Amino acid sequence: MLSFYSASARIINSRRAVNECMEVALGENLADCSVLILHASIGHNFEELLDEAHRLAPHASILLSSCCGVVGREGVSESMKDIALMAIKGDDFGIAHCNEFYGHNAYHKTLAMARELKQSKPGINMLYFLGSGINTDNNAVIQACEEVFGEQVTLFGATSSDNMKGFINYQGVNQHLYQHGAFLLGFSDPTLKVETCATHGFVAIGEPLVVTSCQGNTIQTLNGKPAWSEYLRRLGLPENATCGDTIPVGALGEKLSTTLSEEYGNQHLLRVVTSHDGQNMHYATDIKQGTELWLTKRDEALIFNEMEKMVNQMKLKLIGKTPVAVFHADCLARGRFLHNRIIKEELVSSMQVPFYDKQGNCPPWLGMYGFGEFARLGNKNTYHNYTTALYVLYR
Amino acid sequence: MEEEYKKLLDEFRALQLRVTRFSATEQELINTRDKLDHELEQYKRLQQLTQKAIRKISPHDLINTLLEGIVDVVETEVAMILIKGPESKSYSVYTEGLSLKNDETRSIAIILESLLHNIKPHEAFILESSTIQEQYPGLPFHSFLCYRVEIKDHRYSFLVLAGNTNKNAPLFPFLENRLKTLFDILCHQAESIFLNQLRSWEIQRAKKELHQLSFIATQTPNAVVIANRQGQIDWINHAFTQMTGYTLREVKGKKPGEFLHGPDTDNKIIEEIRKALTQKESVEKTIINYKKDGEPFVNQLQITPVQDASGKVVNYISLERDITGFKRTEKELINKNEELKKINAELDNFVYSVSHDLRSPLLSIKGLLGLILHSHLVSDEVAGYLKMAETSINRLDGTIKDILEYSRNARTEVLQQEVDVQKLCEFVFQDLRDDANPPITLKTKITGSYKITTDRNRLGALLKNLMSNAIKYAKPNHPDAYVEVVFINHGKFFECFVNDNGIGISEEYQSKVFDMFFRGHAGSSGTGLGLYIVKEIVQKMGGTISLSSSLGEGTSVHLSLPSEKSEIKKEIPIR
Repeated sequence: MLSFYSASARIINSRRAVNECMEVALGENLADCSVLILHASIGHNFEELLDEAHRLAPHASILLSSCCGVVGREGVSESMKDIALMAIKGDDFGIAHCNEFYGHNAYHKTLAMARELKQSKPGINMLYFLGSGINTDNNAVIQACEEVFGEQVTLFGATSSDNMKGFINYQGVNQHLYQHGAFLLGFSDPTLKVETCATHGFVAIGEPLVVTSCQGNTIQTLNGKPAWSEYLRRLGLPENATCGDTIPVGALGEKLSTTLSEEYGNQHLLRVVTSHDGQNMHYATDIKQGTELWLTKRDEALIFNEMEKMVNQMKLKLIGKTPVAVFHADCLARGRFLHNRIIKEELVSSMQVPFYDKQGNCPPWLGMYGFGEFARLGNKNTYHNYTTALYVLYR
Repeated sequence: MEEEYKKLLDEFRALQLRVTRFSATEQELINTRDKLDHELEQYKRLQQLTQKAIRKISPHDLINTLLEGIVDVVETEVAMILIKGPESKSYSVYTEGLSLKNDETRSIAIILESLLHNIKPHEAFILESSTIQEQYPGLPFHSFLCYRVEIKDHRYSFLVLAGNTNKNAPLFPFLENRLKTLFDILCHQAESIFLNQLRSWEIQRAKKELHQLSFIATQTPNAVVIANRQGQIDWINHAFTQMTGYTLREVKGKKPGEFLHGPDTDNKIIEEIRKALTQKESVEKTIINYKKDGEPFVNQLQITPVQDASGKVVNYISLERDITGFKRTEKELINKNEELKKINAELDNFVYSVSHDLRSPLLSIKGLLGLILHSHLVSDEVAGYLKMAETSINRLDGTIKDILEYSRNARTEVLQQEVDVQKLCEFVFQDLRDDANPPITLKTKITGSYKITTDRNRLGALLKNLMSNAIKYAKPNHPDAYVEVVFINHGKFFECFVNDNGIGISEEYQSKVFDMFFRGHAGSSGTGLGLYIVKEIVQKMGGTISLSSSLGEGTSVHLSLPSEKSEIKKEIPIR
């Protein structure tokens, strides 16, 4: 049976950051854990993080992801030197990982990882995925996982990021540090279940952009025009704008069916563009020609309302059950570039407080600001962007 | 209708664009607000850093705090501090956010040293990528901020750096003037903190040292007197009170001479002390002082004038010790030594006289025995007894001669004479060869000049003893028995080997052969004094001796002796 322990902090020195977080999470016996999941802001030295974690817990499997900020029991922080960790004790898990993970090979790479995982550990009933958030196809990730584990397996997790520059991101597994990697952590604890949910609070505006030419996850033209220029023009941004400029205002909405819209509380599922190669835009999933993409505008009231609604729905689902750990993925565009610090802390508080136990303790919590989030929608694994996504592990 | 629709559509699109552009403008406002909020946050971090740094209790902790603080406040990837010590080649490099190997640290330190000389102190600078590539290509930075700190007394220079590597520069804020200002403030504050801390550490160190010195001054068995610049006593320790009987209350404000001097105090020494102190020099003297009860004592004192930074005397510190007992003992020892020398000399004279006086009747008896034996007046049996008596007398004569040799060596000074060692060898061997049985050959080998400056008689005595041993202990009936004397003249000293192919000395006896009266062979005709005298002579001449031997194969004695007067060690022979 798995047990979970978490900690987060803003500490400059990477080695000391790992050390102090492990001390907070695990107490004196730092080596007494089976898995260490580390989320760290892009300003940290990732080699040192892996090395120090391995030094302190030489027998633990170490999983690492870069991000734009972290959320822990201790609160939210978005600086260049944040770190959050979830330590897991117990044997009911399996890990698979890969490098050179891109949009064009996301399906095959994920399929290989999923097969390896299934072979190495029977009874896996939920998957925690973390992969590069730059130039990837996350629908392919879902498809490959479901092919091996079935549609009913819950896939949760996020995509790594930097500080919204779309320049670089890191994934680490044990002593290996990747810039385009991915890993799958499969839980096989039969006593453990997971509920996932996601919400964004953006509204579509105006006429959609139509994908007129594309390949895999690459959009070549929009409305028959070179994609990147057309995208910038519609956003009212200059030609020399970067992804860092487009991400906060450039959420693209794909229209949902009526049923899914009702469940989701929004008519559109959002997508992000994390990088572009000249005029070719790298979309977060594969895309078909003719797809309509709406520009969107955030609505603060909607963001709060939808968040409250989502947490209440989750709370209802968990009546009579005990949350043992919460994994949390938030879009980096919902951080300091969307709200000021006070609103953001309010948001985080409003999503944590409902899960407090009777003594007022927050369950172990590991959250990050990344490029994208996985959460089930319409009882299917779905990839989202610009959302807050919660994954509550309970018994 | 169609035209109106088209117009409406155009208006809708324009409106749509305005909405999205409004989003972009709104985002710009959010970004600006975030930037301002963040700048405020950075200044808050700077304040926290200052508070944290002030509390640091060691230079190492302070430097690490500053390094982390720079990364935190300025939000660069790397912070680096180069500290250049008072000696031009000593430096230390501290980093945060960059792992360097030893050789990398060295090469970076060399570049940073040159940078240190090229920038003005107490001012922050931005070094752009192009400047780094052009002037400091070995530095692993895309761009960086730098600031030079000079410690007032010029003993230390610091170079503080905050920068981004080429690899990660796009992730970090562009190093603009806003960050330069922040870095400048940070470095100014760090400089002040460091200087304050440095003073504080110096004060703490001085306090600690003072505490230790005060503890030593209080606890030392020696008397300590601290006087002001007028020579008036400020403080004395307990040992002073124990030594003289005076308490601090009784002597404070007085000059030591006022109460320590008495009838036997030597005014000449007082004047010497006064003269040295006038010239701000330390002085060490032994003087007769008087205790409170009037008892005189021998005071060994060392007075040091303490000067301030301008060279002005501010105090005198005197360390004093009652050496009356020591002086008494020393005097007794000198007397006893003189007495011992006299006795020794008398003993040597006595030994010489007795030996000399004993030898005369012995030689008479020997002569008479010879006459009787050659007169054929006695039977063969009686002649046999007389021959036995003659052998005993010869042995006794040998012993007396050895004692005389020993005595001569002890009594007479070592002389420096020019000696032809080849001739000396032949001369000595001439005297001995008649006693050789079997016949023995002399081989000599001389490297360097034949002429050596040494004591002719002593060198002769050494050769005689050693060659005589080679003859005495030659292998019976050996057809090629020899004694080989090798001289190697090194100029300031010479080596002499006396080798033979005789019966050799058993290993167990080799360490004892230089002992007095030691005889390695039961049937030996020797006195047991020969090699002892050799050792004594070598010692007197300031040389060394060693022996190696192999039983049945022969013996080699090695001498090393000075051949110039200056090299002779003036040692008193140990009796």
